[in-house]
Amino acid sequence: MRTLLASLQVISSFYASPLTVVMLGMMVLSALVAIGVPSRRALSIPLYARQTGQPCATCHTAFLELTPFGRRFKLGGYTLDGGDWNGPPFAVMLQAPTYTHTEAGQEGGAAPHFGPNNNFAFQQASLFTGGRITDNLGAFIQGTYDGVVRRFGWDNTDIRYANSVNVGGHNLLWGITANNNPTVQDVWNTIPAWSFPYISSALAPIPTASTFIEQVYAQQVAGLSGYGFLDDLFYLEFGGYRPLSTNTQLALGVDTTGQSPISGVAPYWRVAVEPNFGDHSWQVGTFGLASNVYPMRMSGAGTRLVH
Amino acid sequence: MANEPAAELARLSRRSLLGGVIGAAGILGAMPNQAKTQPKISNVAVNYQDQPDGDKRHNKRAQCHPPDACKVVEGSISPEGSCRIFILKHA
Repeated sequence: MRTLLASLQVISSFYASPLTVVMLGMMVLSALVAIGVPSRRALSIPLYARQTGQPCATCHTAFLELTPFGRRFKLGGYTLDGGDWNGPPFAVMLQAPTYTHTEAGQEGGAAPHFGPNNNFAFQQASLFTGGRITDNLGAFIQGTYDGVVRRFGWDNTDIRYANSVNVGGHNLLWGITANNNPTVQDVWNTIPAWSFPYISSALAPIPTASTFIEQVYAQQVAGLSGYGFLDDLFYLEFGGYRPLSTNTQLALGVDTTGQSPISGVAPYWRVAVEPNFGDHSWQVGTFGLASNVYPMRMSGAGTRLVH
Repeated sequence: MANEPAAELARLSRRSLLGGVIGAAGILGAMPNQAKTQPKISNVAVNYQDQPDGDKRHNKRAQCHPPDACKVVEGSISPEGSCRIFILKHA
């Protein structure tokens, strides 16, 4: 009961911007739609499972991690269909209630509005949409209400155009991705946007030092890159990221405090080889982002950093 | 030291971001859209084989598109073939 009351208090006290109202309305609507949908045998992920007619395990091994099929579904622009679902393409994810206990209490509180230790929280509620838009255009779009900082904003977004061509007897799956988080477009789960731990407590202390590619620019940038996947084996991607203006970020629900934005365009690259052996596959590759930054927005300071 | 306006000029505004999205959507929408050109999944990714796997054979599969195609996997698919994403066709 205490958790329920705490959740209601969170919902009633956050800053109600127009974006928040619209997104929360869509979330409630899609939850109602999802409740009204008859259950289906083993087809549990609402958005892409309904579109493809496939169960979760076709695209995923463990939570979030992709199978070879899932990787190609994503590289193909989320456009593959095969299911018989004609309803709205929405899905909802809740991380609530959560309970966080740390070995020692955090002086001053684990976060504003929270105590030093043993905190219950409505950590996160996300609304997903996207999937197939045309035969070659598709999307993964996530909006999230963060129950710890009590703010609604856009989350991971990846919009793709993809096609396949035959080049001299070789199959080339190629595409263009527009996204808002370096590595969110990647399909191998060894990169910062999609690597373990996939979900962790927002109220527990974590190391704050990291390279810039490790989620520092998540939702603060707009990126565009082109990629090719040759003969189901060789993957190459190259693109760049530019920072969004402060007003744009605020309109999208991003906290702009303490940012060190990219100066100009930061090139991004990804190379990978994925041989498949029956039910097994390997991946060897490299990725990186080269960014000139304005440290804490001071344009007269800084250095060139490569990660 | 601080010079935020100069930094801000180099960043994407809502107007330019929206313009880019609309422009890209227009270009992609204007591209020729042939019937069913969406990329399918390669048979390597689903471990396709020409032989059935027990009772699992392609012509019993929900995604079967007779005589020799699949709605999901690319290429020529044998009716007797099987792969790891088999789903039984509903009666």
